[in-house]
Amino acid sequence: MSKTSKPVATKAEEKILNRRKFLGAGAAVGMSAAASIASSQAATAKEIVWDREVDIIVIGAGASGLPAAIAARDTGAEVMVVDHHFDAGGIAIMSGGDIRIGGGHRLQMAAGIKETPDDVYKRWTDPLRHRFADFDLIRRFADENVATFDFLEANGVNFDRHGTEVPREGRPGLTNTPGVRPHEWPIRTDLLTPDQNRNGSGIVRPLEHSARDKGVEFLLSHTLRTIHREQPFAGRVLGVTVETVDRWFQPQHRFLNLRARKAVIICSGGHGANVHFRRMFDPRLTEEYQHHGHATAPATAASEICAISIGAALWSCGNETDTGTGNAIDKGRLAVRDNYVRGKHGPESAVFFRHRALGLDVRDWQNLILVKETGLRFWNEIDRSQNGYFANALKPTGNPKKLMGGGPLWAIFDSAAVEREKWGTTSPHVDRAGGYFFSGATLEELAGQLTHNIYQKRPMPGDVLRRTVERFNGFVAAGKDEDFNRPSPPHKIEKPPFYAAWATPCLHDSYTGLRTNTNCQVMDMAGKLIPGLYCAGESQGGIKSHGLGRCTVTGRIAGMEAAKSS
Amino acid sequence: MTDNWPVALDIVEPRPSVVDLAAEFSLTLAITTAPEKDLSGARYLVFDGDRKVAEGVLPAIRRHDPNSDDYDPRNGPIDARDQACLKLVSPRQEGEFAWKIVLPAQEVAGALFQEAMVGFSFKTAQHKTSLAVWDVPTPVVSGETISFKVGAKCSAGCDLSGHRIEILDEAAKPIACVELGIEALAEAEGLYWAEVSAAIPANHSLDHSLVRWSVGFAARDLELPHTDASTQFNFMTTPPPQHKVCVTVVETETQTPIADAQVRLGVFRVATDASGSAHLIVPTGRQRLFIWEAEHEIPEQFLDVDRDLEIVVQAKTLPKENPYDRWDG
Repeated sequence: MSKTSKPVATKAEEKILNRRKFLGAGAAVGMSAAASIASSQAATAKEIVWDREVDIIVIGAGASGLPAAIAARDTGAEVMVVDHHFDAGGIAIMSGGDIRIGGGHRLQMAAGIKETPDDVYKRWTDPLRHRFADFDLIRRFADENVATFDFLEANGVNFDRHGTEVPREGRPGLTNTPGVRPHEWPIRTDLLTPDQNRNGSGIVRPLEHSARDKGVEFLLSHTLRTIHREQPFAGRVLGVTVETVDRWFQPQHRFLNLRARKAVIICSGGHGANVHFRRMFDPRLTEEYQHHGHATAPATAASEICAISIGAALWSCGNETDTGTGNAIDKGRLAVRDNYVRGKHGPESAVFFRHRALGLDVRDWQNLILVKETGLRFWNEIDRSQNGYFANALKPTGNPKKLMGGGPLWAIFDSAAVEREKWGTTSPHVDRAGGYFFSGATLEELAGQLTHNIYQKRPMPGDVLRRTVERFNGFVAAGKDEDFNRPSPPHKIEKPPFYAAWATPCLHDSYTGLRTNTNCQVMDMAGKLIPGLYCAGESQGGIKSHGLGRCTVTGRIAGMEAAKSS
Repeated sequence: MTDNWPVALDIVEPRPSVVDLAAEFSLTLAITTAPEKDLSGARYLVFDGDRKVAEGVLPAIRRHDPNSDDYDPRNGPIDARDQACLKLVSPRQEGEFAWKIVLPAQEVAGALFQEAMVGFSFKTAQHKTSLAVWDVPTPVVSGETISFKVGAKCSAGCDLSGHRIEILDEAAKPIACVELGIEALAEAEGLYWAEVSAAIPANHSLDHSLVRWSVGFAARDLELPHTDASTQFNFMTTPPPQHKVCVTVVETETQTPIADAQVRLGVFRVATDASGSAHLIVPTGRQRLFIWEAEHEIPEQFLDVDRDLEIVVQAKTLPKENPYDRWDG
């Protein structure tokens, strides 16, 4: 685990071995019974043969799951964390680590920043940007900010070097809530992307260590399949069935039934990678839009679906349909599927086999044009305003067989642009084998290859792409972009070979999720509490806040409150 | 050697549907037989009706390996069957064809296998030709001669060396003609190319206008049928430049020179050198000065050019684009 400096492959294998040790040490026989129950929702709770029994089961080992586990363990509860990845950390390990909590914590006071929980409440209940939020939940969130900051420090998170280096710029009428950021975790072999300011490792690695030191058990490479309740829509939650997954998160048809004496806490990171689930809130988000955690912690909505199947309600769904910021879309990097703009994974990364390429950073968007699957431009590529860009990127292309979603976007450029940007055009820089980067001696040849990408559902007409480029080159010569008013584009796209790089926006946060009360206890469609079921972080509805503050604060609340349940 | 194992064949998607005539194409066979049996090296025959059109031996069978980094179930459903990739050559005639691949009953590595067969159909089509034009200067002075490069590519990779490319003006009148060279461009596989020179008409009514010419490839005298191809290229024309203008770009706060900024004065464009300076020669007149450098703000301005000029332009550094800004609370 993270205490070792073993090679990556060994590390992954070791985590799978942990499961065998775990089963050998404490699990009762009952695998076949578990399998039959997982495959049959009709089975009643009484028939379940439990493989293990603990007080609290936490689903998800990321920014909300780890605080939940520790907070529960701190009360003396026996806690097990389950995660579908072969490592702990969730997507938070790829976060910049900017954690938006305030309210007057130690570093704020040291910096002379006067802020109260009321200020935090006021910020996150701004009537324009947060009008769809759950203000009761935010009240509790605001009141727990300082205690969560203290909790993180007490569990090894070291904010000292960075301190309040990233104070937020307040908008008129609002107070500042400075973000704080920890160190990057110092053991390089425990990082997915060393030297890229992915300081989220400075949150999740210390918490993982603290949890293990305190006796929290980890069951990795397992995904949630069923939450068991006494009756299908009544009674308390008894436990869960989990299934082993391989290193591609694929189910392996081996199941475990885990009994939770007190509670199950859902901290599984939301639903951004589940196309059908996310389209309930925004039908435009069709399959071509990738989730930035695909390679690390896909947000599959498995937990939300399990919870809904025993009666849980969704909440604050309006948060996610707010096109201004709701979907949290990222313009992305080029030439790689998991194209989160800050998600550059090198071959040394333990999950590089899933990323397959570093991707290309764009220094100057004047070096390319962006076209839709039709071969047509749709926006001023250098526009920094983003919202207009995304609205147009998601506009349908006129494909009668696909009236929703904007289809793939491709960055088109030539060899002169490659030289200017100093881009690599082979592995590990770009993912040709996966269908996210192509080259051609002519534009027609280039266009003809794009159907090798699984999201390019119809061929891009080569003559259309050629005419698009011819027209654009005319704008370069004339000094005026008559279509999208891009200011004096300086570079023609003319020198072979030509390139097409995947540039489809990727999705980030989940801003809606399960309904809970202020103790993070899940509620059903009638507004009644579901005994023994809690939820925090991005799987929880009610707070529209990017990043780690929301996750760590609500995770800690859920852990504390779940431990109190009888 | 008493066993006689059954074999089932299938074609892995995507199947070839339209292929260039008389060209090599790939087809992947899915092979199902007894577990642990390997048909690498097995003999196969390809028939068009009853006529044998090809034969060979199967290359090494590709086995499904979930531990391989090539296995990525996120990129679509995984076909877990054993696979072998065949290289076949399509007929020389245009038309529709129904072929079948037969693995005759045979012994491979000490095991006996039964006969298996799979059919597939496809169309053949003319080879598609496409063009590229590059290193086109802009602006150009009326009456001068310009040179640029043209290249042509066949979709089936045919040798196009020696074939003619024609340059046509906006009225489709031939301006120049060139034969493609014998070597394909090193950086672009199969792109045969040549440098071409063409004279710009001395017509002052053209000045300050965008000229659109085209390049044409007529598919004649080729062994196999090819499509014709054409593409456009463009450039601005200008009266003869007279005045030297030096534009130096510096960062506002630090006054350090900015190299590689793109300076456009009227229709002329050049990048700044290491000292932040761009040297241009432009005609008399009022000229728009636009400078582009990523992550800098440089207001555009107009210069009345009636003599040699030297100017310094301030570039204000913009804050780095932060993808999180829009999610900030």
